Amino acid sequence: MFTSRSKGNGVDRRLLLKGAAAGLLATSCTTTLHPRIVGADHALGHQLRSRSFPPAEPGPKLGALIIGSGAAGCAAAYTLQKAGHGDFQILDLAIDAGGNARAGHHGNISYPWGAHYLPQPDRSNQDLLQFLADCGAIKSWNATGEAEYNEDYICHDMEERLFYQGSWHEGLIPWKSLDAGTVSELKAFTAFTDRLRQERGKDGRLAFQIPLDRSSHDSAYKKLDSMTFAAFIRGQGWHSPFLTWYLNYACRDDYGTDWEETSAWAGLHYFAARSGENGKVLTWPEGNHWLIRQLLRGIESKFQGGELVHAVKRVGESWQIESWNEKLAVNRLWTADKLILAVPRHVSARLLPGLAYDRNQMTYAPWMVANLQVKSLPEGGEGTELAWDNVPYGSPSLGYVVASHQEIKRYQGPSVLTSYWPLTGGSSDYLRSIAGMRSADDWGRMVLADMEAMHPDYVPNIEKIDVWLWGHGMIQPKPGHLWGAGRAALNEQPYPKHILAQAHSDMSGISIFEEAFGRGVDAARQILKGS
Amino acid sequence: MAVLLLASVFVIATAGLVYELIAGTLASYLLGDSITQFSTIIGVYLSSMGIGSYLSRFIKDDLLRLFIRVELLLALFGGSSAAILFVAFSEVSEFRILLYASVMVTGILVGIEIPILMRILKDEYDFKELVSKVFTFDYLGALLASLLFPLVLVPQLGLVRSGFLFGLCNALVAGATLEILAKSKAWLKSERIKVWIVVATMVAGLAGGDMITRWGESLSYPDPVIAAMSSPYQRVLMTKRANDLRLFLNGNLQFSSTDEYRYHEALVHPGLASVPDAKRVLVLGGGDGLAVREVWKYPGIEHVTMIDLDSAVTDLATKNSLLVALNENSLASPKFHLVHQDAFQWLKNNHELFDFVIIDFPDPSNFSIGKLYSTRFYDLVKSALSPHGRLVVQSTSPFYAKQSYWTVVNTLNASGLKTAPYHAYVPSFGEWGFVLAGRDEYQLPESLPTNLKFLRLNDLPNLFEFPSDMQASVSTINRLDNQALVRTFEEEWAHYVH
Repeated sequence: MFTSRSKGNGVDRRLLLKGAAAGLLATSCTTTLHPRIVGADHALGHQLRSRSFPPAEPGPKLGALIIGSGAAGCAAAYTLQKAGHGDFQILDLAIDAGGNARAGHHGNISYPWGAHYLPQPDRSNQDLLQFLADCGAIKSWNATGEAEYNEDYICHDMEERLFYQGSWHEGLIPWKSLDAGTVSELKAFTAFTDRLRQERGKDGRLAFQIPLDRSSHDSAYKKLDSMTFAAFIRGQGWHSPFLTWYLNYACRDDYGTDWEETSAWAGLHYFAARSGENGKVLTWPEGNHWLIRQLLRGIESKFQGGELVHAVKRVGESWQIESWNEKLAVNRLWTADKLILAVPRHVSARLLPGLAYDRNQMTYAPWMVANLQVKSLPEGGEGTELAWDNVPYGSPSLGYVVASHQEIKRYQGPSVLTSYWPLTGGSSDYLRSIAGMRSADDWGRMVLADMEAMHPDYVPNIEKIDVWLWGHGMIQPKPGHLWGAGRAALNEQPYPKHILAQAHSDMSGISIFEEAFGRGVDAARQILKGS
Repeated sequence: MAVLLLASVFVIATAGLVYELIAGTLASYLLGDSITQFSTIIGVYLSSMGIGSYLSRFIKDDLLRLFIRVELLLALFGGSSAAILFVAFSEVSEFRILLYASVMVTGILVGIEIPILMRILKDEYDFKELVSKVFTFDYLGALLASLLFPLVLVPQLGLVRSGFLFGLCNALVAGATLEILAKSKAWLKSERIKVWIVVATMVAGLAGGDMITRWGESLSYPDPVIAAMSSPYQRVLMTKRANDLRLFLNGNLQFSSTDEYRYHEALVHPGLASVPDAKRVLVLGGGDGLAVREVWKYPGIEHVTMIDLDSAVTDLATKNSLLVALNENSLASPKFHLVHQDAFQWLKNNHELFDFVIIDFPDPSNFSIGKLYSTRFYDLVKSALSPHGRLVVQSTSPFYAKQSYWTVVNTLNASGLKTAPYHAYVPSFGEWGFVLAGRDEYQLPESLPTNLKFLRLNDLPNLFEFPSDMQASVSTINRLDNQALVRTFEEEWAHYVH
């Protein structure tokens, strides 16, 4: 029996023939696919800058109010609730909770719009481990105290693969296809980060840790923040194109930032902060929105979406917060004893004068994320099977992730592929305006071309493309920000800590779930201290 | 002139019948049910010849040129029909329409030929002689074709190249007619080009026919295909030669009727006979109904639930008379309950308990199937087991894929089950492995059903003994996040395939 048939059936090959023609016309396909841009709440968000609102109607009086429902805000809510302080509300401009960890649904398939995985935390991160146990992601602890995870949530094999020089390779490094020089550089780099992972500073702390503020304050490490990751790596004498791509990919993936603009400390943190004792990632079809749902489990009713908070004032012994609900056309006045600001700094600085915000220091990476509804999944291709994360070498995209990867099915039917595009290669302001000028068709064409390059003739399987623009997707860890005066100043605030807490991964300078979660938990504890 | 044209009648007749036989054989190969296929193909073909003969009356002049053109068209259509149908089978949704259209076109062209030839020859012979001669050669040609086709053409050349060979014959008849009878015609040159193009196409087809044949799946099966269909999930195909009925899913042999009883007796009885008072049985996979046939040999069974995603297979098992005879209509019992769903999804929502669970999935040859051999999956099956219930897993060959086999054993152990590995020899598969697992230790049964062809109670202990070349010490556990089994399986079978 001919092998080309082993995986598919007649239908697939029929598609293939049609595909051959359609693939050539990838551009004209967009006209029939009607890509659309969804989730456009930035327009409403921008009203914060200019708009005036009608007089506020008196609303609820609360113990605490959380503004922002990203991972930090939800972690704060979870912590308050767990401590028995249930008298709070969460407000968010968006209709759905989750911030960067929101999700979409198509039929019975859920897919992420942003953050989509969580590396298994180190044993030192007890708060996070406890939460994962609370929500059932950790089933039990074995005799040595290691977490036993629910297998459904550990990323199934095959985790990732790379499209390199026309074929797929398991993992992100195609060892067998690289020349000896490149291999030795990669090995030297790996040995270097392995060493770094164990190193401790003069203060006895590990050089790199998560949450990041637990890292050593030894200047031997902190000074790495004064140069770019690219400069640091070149300084080691490592120049091979593949290593360059790989490390740049890592920065774009984790920070949405080119390695030429990423602090060397941040670049190394990516490789050296996790002890690697587990080395696996947790993931769900809807990405990190699963974690958001677990954080909000039982307190869903305390989340209020569609609320544009536009005024925050301390009046006497309480906070007065005004929020505009565009849909209801109501301007509401909330009163709360305590306030947790769980929004990015470029928003919180507008809401509450007196909070430090240096526009030049704190920049945000714009992202485009496209979700592709597909009739069937791409074939495994030569050498590997379809992976969860499929990365094209040298592409401006980071590749795509398969939403149905964690499903246990003999036959995979329709699915959703999430294509990630950090917008790099210029200043974030410039890239953001360019992104705003592109039409849905423009984005659609970029995504289709990227897919076509990885999977010739696959395009006809794509039925729909939805595009999401994250104008301020992630805080950028540029040189000097993490350990400079700028980030230190973020902790300063005009009100005592037990009545105002700030919770956002901005405070850490890198946008990862662990940081946001830790900030949220800390913020909740901070205001609870005063109770 | 007359001799040449009579010779061409012979060639034309042979070619015409060859095209008809090709269409009939192809239809039986690809669509199954050869009686219907041959009957309808012959009917369509002959009636189309009638249409062709009728149409020939509208041809007024330039008979010779038209004859040459009809020959060339016939060469093109008839000659490449097998190739086109083979390739189109998997690509076109309405294959039957294409099949009958192709038969019609060929039939009509053949139908036009003979009347035209007779009109060309009408001045050479008197009517009586003409009719006699033409039809003699016509029927002799048919005889030659009917002998050549099964004895020489199909075994030596295959359908695709036989088609091109006779296409070439048609084209050569056109060429000979042109060069000998139309030497003085003004259109000689323009027709000559056409002849050469068609001859070249047919020669190319003959040379490349092998490649096209490899496209067509049926010829890659050693035995005649009696049923074939594409479900949304896989290609389902049955072959039969003498008493050997075989089922293939995506080209992989599922059973051969000559020895499937060995496989299914070994799969079912060591486990089911050991469960005291078993009433409820769950079958995951096994849509052919053969395992269920064995289950009914226990009168105490009250209920069998089968989870098999693909209704194409279970339909075959309930409707195809040969398979129904083989599985003894096992799926028609009122105690039988069929669910078309993915096994994992079904188990996730299941609250029923079963005394015996038969897991008969394909070998772990890809990551999707590998997930159905994982700790996660076995945890779920475990929760569907009654307190003293037991499960059996078909777990590939402990001879060809030793590490894989013991990985399955190890994975079941890791799920907290007590395992009893065993094996049996099934000639069409080789030495084959199974694993029994339950919460308590396995005890050999005290009796077996009486009407078994392979297993005997006294032989059972031997099945649980593994000779040295089927033993392996394996510590790997197949988990969703390592797919250790699929990786091992691939490596091991790579030594035997190719």
